[in-house]
Amino acid sequence: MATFSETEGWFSILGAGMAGLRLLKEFGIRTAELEYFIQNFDKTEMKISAFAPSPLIDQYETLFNQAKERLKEGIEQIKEPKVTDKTVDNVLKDAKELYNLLGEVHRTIASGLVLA
Amino acid sequence: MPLDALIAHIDSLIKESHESERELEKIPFSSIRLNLQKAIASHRNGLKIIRNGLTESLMKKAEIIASLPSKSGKSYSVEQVMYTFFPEIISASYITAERLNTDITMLAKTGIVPELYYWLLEIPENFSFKKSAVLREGERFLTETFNQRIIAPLQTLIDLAKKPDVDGSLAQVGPIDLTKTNPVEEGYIVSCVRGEAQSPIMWPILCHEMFELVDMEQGILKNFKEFVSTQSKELPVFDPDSQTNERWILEILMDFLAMTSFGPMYARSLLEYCKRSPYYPTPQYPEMCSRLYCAYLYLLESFRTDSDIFHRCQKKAREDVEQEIQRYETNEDLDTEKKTKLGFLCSLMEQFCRSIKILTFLDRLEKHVGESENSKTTLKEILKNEDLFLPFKDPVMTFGDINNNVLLHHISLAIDPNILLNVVIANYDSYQKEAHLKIIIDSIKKWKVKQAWNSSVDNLLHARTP
Repeated sequence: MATFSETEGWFSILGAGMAGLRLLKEFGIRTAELEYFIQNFDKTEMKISAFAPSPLIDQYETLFNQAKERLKEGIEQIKEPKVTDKTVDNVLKDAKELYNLLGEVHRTIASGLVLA
Repeated sequence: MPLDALIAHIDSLIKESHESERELEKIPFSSIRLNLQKAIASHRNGLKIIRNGLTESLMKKAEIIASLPSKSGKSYSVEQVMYTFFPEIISASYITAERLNTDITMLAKTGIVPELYYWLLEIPENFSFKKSAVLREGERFLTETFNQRIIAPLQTLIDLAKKPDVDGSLAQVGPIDLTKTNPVEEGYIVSCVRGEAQSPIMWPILCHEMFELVDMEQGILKNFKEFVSTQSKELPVFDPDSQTNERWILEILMDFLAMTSFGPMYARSLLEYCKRSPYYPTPQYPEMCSRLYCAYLYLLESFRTDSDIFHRCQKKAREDVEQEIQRYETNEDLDTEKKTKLGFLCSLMEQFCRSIKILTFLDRLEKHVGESENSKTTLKEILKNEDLFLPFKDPVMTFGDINNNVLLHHISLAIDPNILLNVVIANYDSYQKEAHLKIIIDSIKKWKVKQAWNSSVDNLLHARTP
């Protein structure tokens, strides 16, 4: 089960990623935030347990896994030196979605959702 | 200044942490007080890392970004840069600061009686553990390092401050090592479910946490795996994911060690925990039926001891757990294959236990008899034969003696808390918090005084022996 401190760590990594993506789009600079996100996102064991009690698992797991997969694919695309604004927008949208889902899950932990 | 409100708030939390620390002055035991002070100081340094990370690194970066031309031609103030580009980092910093503040309060204003430290820390101390370890009330039973609790959630902030920019852009921001000026000590935080901090029936679960602490420090699971491979055997597979399988085995191993050390009534505590908190397996925790079945197998073993305490506790725990095991079998949660694998794992754990220095419940009973006086010897006779420094001795207690003294007559006893708690939990129907909690805590205190006294007598005798 994920601890609060682990979840906070995930928030920070996603937060850094979103900051890096916005700066890339608006200023055209690749900052430490973006590189940090690219290097560290896949290292986190961010997932909703496959054994979490229903109906919460039904509500979140598919959404969560899909958002994570899309984001992983997006990260591959932004590793390229030249990326279009559209690509950045799409990755930012996926990162935001995962961040919001994580926020929702974080608030629900106390009511019984199991994170792993 | 941008982030004025947040920085002022974090400053107020830092200030409050000093006030919380003053609460510790009420704790009469200096070593426990010192450990808690170290833990609070480390949490406070976590707050300072957040503050400095925001003001000395992130804000400096925002100042530079605000001076750059944007692709859209729009210009940004420093404050706009902070809230437009870094809102999630700011929000995550606020969340962590608040959680650290809650942690500090939980450490300072705790419902966990300090006497529990004396009982519980005996486990890591037997493994020569020297670091700080503190107990806190929390939302679940959990063992974490100071690093996991304080530094890990701030790692992004720390890493970004250390290496603020990539080559060719924003190179003006100087790197800062936020942990250098605000170091976090090495240590462990063991959380006890808040509502259970004063429930003796749940205290044995903390023995499991103490073994987790030793595992994190010295790698018990790693040693177990090595032991298994030296026996030319392999660990059973309960889950195809090797990491999950290993974590599940770790949990069962910690239960096994806790039960071996605490005694048979650990199984009853585990059952109680499972009943209070309907338990779902996750990649970290195996099904409760696996954990309880292993405990049940231990209760079926025959051990050679003259003490009636072991046999009566074992019988009572077996009766308590048996019904639950039957329910698992009826519901087909426990099939023959799973039982065979668990039985094999238990036999491996049993052999492994003999190879590590763990004070078992049977050792404790033997020690209790060895340290007790001959019940036929009167105080007058002892005074005639011994030095003025008399060892602190009690008569050998039976299951009935402990039950009568503690639960019936409300007399605290200076005997090993593991023995005392086994008898109390075996008779938990008679336990009443108002009448008995203080007696149990006083017993732990008396036991500690007895240990200290007898160790002084030993040292004196040693010093006098030519």
